[in-house]
Amino acid sequence: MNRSKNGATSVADLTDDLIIEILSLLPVKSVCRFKCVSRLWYSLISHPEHRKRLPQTISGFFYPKHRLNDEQIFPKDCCNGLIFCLCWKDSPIDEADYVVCNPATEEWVVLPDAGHKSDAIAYRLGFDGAMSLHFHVFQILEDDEDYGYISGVNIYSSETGAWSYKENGWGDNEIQIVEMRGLFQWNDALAHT
Amino acid sequence: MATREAGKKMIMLKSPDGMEFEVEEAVAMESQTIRKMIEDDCADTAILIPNINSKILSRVIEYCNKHVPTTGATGAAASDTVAPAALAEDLKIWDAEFIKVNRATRFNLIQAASYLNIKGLLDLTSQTTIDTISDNSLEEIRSFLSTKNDYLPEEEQTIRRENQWAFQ
Repeated sequence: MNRSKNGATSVADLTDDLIIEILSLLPVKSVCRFKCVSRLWYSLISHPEHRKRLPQTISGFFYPKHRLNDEQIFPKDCCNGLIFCLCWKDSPIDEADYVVCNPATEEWVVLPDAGHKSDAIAYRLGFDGAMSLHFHVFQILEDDEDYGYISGVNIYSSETGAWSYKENGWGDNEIQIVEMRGLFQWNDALAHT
Repeated sequence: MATREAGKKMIMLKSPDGMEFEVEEAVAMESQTIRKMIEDDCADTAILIPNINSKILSRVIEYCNKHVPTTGATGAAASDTVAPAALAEDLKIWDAEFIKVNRATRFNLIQAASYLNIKGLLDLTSQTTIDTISDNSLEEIRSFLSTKNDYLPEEEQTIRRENQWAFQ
């Protein structure tokens, strides 16, 4: 145990193991904040051996496929710590809310009605906290009459708090969606198979 | 420290600065490190505690004296007459007073608790440290920890942006 000349002990005198012991008592939010204290602390907290002992943001979870609570909640997509769910209402039973939640902060947002009557064949969530604090929800729409044809996409932005509609500009090939770190690329599936 | 009544086995703890502390074996065995030494027959009647000066060692002994199970010290009577909940509450108040020390002493106590493997004391000292700093700003945390910000300004900005949610 080294002490500086004046006898004072600073945190630098504590072993890495002790620092992690102390940090393991912190809530996850504080641990994330502590990453910003210094390079040393960043590497301490990010070290794979230490991460096991520290509180974590969730990287996945199991859920029952049937009923959760009274409402039916279906996690549809997740992205960099946010989860997008469909929550079917008790009444009327054929209506659902779109909800985006952050399990780490226990915050959630109910999205407004998309207002588009076409059938949605897929939902995707886009979020990258390093780029922006805002998330986007993509509702991929199928053409009313032409089965399998994607007519366009409804995009919700948490920045504007509103949906906007983009029509399909790719013609009538099948479309596949690839996500890369919260950014979306729309690939023409036929061109790659 | 005065010698206790006959029948109780006493252990001498020595700090590196030459002070000696006579404590009951049961009190010393609150430390898992010392307990192991005694159980493995590695301990003579005097044990040198390296790295922990007399000021800190005396505080640690004070803590162990308070936390040693009461049946060991005064017979079964104490725990029979005082409700466990009241006892726990009393200990909590005592702990809160005990830990009102400056930062350097607290870090020294953390080191001592870790070396001597006294879980209760390590929890108390760590938790108190956490309570002090968990809601502070980065600058306050750095100053409390006496640690330097070695990030380049743009690096810090990036790390802060990546962990933005933790600052909200």
